[in-house]
Amino acid sequence: MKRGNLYLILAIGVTLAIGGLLSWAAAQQEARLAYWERIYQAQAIENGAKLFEANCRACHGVRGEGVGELGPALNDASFFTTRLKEIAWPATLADYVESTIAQGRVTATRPLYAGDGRVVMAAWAQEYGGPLRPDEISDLAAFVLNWEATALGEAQLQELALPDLDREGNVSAGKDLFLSAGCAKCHTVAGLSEGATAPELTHIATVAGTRRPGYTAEDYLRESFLIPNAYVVEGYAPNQGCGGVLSESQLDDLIAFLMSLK
Amino acid sequence: MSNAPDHSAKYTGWLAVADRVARALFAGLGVAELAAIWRGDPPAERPNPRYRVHVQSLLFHIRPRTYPAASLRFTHTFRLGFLTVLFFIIEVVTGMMLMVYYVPSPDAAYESIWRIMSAVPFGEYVRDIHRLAAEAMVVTCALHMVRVFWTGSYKQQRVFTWITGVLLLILTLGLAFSGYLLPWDQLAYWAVTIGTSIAGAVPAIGPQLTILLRGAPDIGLDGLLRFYLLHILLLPTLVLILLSVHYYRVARIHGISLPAWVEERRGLPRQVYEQAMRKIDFLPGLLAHEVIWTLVVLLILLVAAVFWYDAPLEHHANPLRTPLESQAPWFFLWVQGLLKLGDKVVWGVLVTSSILAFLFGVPYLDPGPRRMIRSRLAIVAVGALLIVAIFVLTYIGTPRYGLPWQPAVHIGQELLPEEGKGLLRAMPFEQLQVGYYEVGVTEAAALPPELGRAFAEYARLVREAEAQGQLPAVRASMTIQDHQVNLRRVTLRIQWLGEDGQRNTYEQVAYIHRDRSAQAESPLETR
Amino acid sequence: MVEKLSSSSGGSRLNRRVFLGLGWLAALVILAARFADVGGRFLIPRRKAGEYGGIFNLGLVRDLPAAGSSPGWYAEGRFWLVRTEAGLLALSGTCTHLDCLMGWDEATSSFVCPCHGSLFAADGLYVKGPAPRSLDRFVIQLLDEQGNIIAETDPQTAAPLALAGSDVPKTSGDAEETEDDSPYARFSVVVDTGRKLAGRPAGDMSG
Repeated sequence: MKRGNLYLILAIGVTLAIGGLLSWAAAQQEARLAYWERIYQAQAIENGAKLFEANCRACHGVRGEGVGELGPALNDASFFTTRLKEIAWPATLADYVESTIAQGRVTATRPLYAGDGRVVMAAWAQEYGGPLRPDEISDLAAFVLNWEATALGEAQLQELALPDLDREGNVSAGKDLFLSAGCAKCHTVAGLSEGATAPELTHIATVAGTRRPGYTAEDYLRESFLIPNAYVVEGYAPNQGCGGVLSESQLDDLIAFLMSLK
Repeated sequence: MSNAPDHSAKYTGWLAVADRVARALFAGLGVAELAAIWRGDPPAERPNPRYRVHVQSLLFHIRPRTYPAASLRFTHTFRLGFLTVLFFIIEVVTGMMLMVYYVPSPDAAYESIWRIMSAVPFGEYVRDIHRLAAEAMVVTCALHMVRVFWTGSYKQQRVFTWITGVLLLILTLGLAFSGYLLPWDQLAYWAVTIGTSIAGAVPAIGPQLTILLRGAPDIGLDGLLRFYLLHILLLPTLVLILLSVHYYRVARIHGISLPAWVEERRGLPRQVYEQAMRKIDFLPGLLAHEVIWTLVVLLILLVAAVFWYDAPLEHHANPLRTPLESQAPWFFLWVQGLLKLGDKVVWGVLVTSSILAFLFGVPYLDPGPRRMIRSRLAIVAVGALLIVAIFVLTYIGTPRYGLPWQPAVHIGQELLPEEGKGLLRAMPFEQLQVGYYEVGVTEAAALPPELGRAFAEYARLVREAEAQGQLPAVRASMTIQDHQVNLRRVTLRIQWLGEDGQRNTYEQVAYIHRDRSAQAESPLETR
Repeated sequence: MVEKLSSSSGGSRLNRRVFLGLGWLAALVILAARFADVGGRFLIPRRKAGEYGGIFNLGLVRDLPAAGSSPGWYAEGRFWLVRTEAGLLALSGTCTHLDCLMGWDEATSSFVCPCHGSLFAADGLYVKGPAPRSLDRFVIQLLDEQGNIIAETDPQTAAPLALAGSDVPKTSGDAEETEDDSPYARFSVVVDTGRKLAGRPAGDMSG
């Protein structure tokens, strides 16, 4: 066969192949688009989880269960079923969550969470002086809304019993944390810091074990940091939230340091 | 057209109408001529009406009427110039399609890319082809320059064409670089931050130049808009102008070069020479050839985009956080490699300028008329060395080379990298079994197969670091917890004894969602 | 008029026509330079207060952390505020190598760059890595209540801005003022991220 005709056959083949591929792809499009949408949502939830851990768990709890009078629960059925009706919110739950995160709360909508004259929840959007970008706020909302399945009992999570870890903290790192995370501003430790609004910690290691019955010294210190108002020492005002948010290992270091203050 | 001899008198009725319409549409080619082309016959009229197309048609005005046969050999040009222009046209078309949905604002750019992928039919493919063809264009442009250099086709009349060619290479790199920023993800943001800070190495005006490029001390709204305008307006306009000059010279002034041996080999038989110089008409054979090449390239791009290639998209750009292993775009890795060698000004500015000066100066450094390699050994050797050097520098520019990584951080990045997949995302969600696993205590065989493999790798890396003395008395654990429905929390904790006798801890936490683990529910089994 | 301009006026090489023509050319060149200057200025906008590239008001000196504490990160301004015994430093958070954002490593008390591992001491001095110089510093100004500039970082030496008389940090939360409250304590600290002072080259370790 002449070379020219071979080329023509190739050309026909390629043209049909392109056309065929496009038709096949067209049939796939619905599935593809849905696939990318799922990935996008999944990424939003993952990002939101990280942001929640870094910014929100101090007041709303590690699993969104709420912390005393600091912040309401976000993972229970009432949040997903009755909350919007309670406050007659006209738009969606997603809008509610995003709006609250972005603008914060100057006054609480429930008496339990009323502040002591200070802002109940800070504004988080960069627009209003906070640290979060608009896409970060959307991601956080996606994460919070993902509690719906467990809140309404549609899914169960496996519980994991973590073994008693041999937690050894780094004392000098803990001391640096004490200074840099803002503890020194309110807690007095002789020779290290001067503060007046919070209990003195110069000899906390000997005192901690006696504060609450059934609590070891380390347990007490751990709870004091994570849930400050679980036990308020007499003569002091309830805490609005200790210093910053620490990772597990940082908390171990801080506690090791505090336990060295005999 | 009124000057053309009127052949329609031969036809009557609808054939006359058809003939007139044909001549109007096909720049003077009548029905008989079209039939002759279709059959593969020589021209039906005299003078050859196919040549008239080159005069009357805008599209074919700039194309040559004939080519000498030897210049058309595949092994002479590899069609690289043609491919570069083809990729540029593909870029323009796919680019304009993407422009329909892309928003050049830091608040919306990233989301608009996701929208193109998740809400626009075929959006994913348009984006993938745009990215793939862009990289292909950089490659073919560079290879085209290497080919022209190799065949010595930069001499005498072709000197200015070479100069415009080097300029086009620079513009192509500029287009690739400016487009790199537009998705506004971590990959784009930090690659371009690093790239624009290289400009800061220029003495005296460096810092001002960087601010000029970015529009602000760091890349934000101003930078994104500037890069967008560069990418869609200024650089394409410059490319069009320079490409026109470049190709006009090739098509009208000096033509594609002949292989050097045709012109220079002594004792070449006359018959061989005449065969080499035989004139091949552009229409219709070469045109068909080009169309077939175009279709084949389109098919390859489409197959790649549909079945294999996914243009990367990392997390949303975060100006406040530089991820580990940030690097410049691959075509600038060689510059990053240069910068690792020493002073920014010497290696970043001086060496790069010297390379550019060399490229522009090739025709002047090798001015003799002879094109055969053996007559140009010096400059060919320098060119070859330069190519090798670029490859070596590119390797040096990759993130892992020569960087002091803390061992625990390195291990964490293998399993749960900040950007990208890593070992723990490469398995189906079900295999991320909830539990607490400790290196040296948990048996990899007791875990689901893929988790076991990942855990074994984790253990191996930890043991290796311990053996090398980097992590003495190490304790390493991996915890997987159910955090929300379809969301698991993975914690890697590595503890070791520091130099001060205190325990150091490195902790890496990541959340893995079912739909972002190995895509078990992908609609395409081939992924 | 066209004929008048193009008609030749023969004679010597530098006649009035040629001279005037050169004059016009010179004027055009100056005009082109003017356009380039205007264009250049157009391309670099002013940064407002609170924007990176603008000024940041950090509040009163008395509210700053004590000397020797860990550096404080100011994200909007991309700088670390360090208070040493000698005074205040606003260190640029971007590595002097290729502009990656650096982190503070508490364990080693140094700034570490995630891109190529450059290391800098707590006061920004270069320790090791591919970075060409120590960390750049932003100009710090001290303003009194009326907004007058009392002190400013010396652009030549870029030395830490001394806060004489206010070394004792007031870490209590209440607003009591003691009699020996240094006037410096009530000054405002302003960091100008538009004025960056280059760090010393890496080879020059004279501090």
